[in-house]
Amino acid sequence: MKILVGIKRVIDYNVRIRVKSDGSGVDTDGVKMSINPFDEIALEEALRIREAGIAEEVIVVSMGGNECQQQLRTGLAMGADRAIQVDTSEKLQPLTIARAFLKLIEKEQPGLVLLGKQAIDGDNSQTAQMLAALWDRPQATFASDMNLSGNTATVVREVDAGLETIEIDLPAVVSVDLRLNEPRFVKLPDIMKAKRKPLDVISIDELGVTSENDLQISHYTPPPARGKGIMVESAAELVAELKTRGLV
Amino acid sequence: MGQDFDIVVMGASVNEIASEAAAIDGAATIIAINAEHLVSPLATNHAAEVVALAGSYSHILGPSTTYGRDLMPRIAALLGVNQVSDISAVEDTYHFKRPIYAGNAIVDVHAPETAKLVATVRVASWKAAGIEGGATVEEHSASATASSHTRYVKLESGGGERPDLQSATRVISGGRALASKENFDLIYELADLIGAGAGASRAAVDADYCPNDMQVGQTGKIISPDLYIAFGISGAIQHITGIKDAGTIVAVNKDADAPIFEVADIGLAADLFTVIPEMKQLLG
Repeated sequence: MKILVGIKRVIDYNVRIRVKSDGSGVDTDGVKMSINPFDEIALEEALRIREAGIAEEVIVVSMGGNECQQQLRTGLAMGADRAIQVDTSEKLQPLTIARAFLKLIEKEQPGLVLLGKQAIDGDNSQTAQMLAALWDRPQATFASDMNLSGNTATVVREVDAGLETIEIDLPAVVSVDLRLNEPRFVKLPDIMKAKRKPLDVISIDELGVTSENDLQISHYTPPPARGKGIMVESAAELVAELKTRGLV
Repeated sequence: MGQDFDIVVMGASVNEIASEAAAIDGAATIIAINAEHLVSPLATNHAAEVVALAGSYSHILGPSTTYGRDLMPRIAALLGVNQVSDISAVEDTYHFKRPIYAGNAIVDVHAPETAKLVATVRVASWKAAGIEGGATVEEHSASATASSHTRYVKLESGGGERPDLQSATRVISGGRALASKENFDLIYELADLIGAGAGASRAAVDADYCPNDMQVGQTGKIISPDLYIAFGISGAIQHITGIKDAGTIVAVNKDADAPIFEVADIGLAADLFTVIPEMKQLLG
């Protein structure tokens, strides 16, 4: 079977986020961009499934302008067979992304779609669920373990109460959580090899998808600052301070 | 938003919960749907019910818990609308604020007034509603049958009788510095002494010192207790985002340069293995 993996170009998770002084957005000038960490884990899982002989092709997909080819090439270097850039200059919202993904699914007919559970910029956690809904297929979100057997996947999900296990029939959409795996490092020879792997560009218009009823997002502000704190010198001082404040 | 709202409860025998929900201030009707296949919180089944009811509502809200986050986007897509995630403030009926970039930026979101509004609400940003209400409970039968392609197997709970992390007024948390599963007993004992919930950093959970349901942070639980004490937690951005709205943040860490001291209201640069026993003595 084929596996489609969605990857998003985001500000690297180590970068200290700064809001622009005019409130129009977050500062991205000269800032390091990377594959969304959860998406990397999704790709790693797809590669392991292929290496186990259960899938024959891993296709990595990103939606955006040509700059996302950088992340697609990294995905190819990690081991994906083919990459697809859905070209758009718009900042797509999850519902539109899901619709575009569905068009790719119609073409590629994958048995499994793996996505990160959330992007660390938007923190929405919507795309996988929306795609599953539009596709009328199962969703297994926040996966921390996954086992494929024939046409079924048994997925362990990280939920508030602990670990939930569900069984889903393929084809399906799975969104992955941090503890599913540890992604491999990219080695230099693989980066060179990746340059020869196919990277197809298709515009979102060609897919026949348009944004509708988008949310308008504006007025980026930094979070309210907390007041300055104090340092204490001992456990005794700490407990005394907590008692004074009526906290213990 | 100052409007009346209805609450839907789904499961196999939810009438008791429905009556409890009826006491929530502002609720007009509690819709109780009893069906065997709704016992397990499978998004595919629950979404079908909510979508069947959605017609007469302008706004459909869910909590930003793993249940709500799994379920609400499926509902939104089935209704053909975008979703607002993690509402932290309401400015107007279709105008909200929410955190993005792990809470490092807050944005204004305007949803189109011509479409249904589907959203999750950031639980840590809101105080619980009062319980002086008197809604009516309406029993409905399920609109859909069980989805055949998704099956619930089981839930393994972290268990324990400590206060639920998400609603506890005080939380004691441990980080990787605890160094072992056994050492986490220090955290549990201190928590039990003052009746607090117990949490952990992602690093501690990754190292298998404690179960995943204790994880506090951007990709774990986002909480707002009155008191949060972090032992041996360095204070990565992703952890801080889980506790930004706590009343008082206390940090105990051997490393005086740990970033957590930048957000802590009270800081103690000392070894947790010395401090915790001393605190237990003083509080015991």
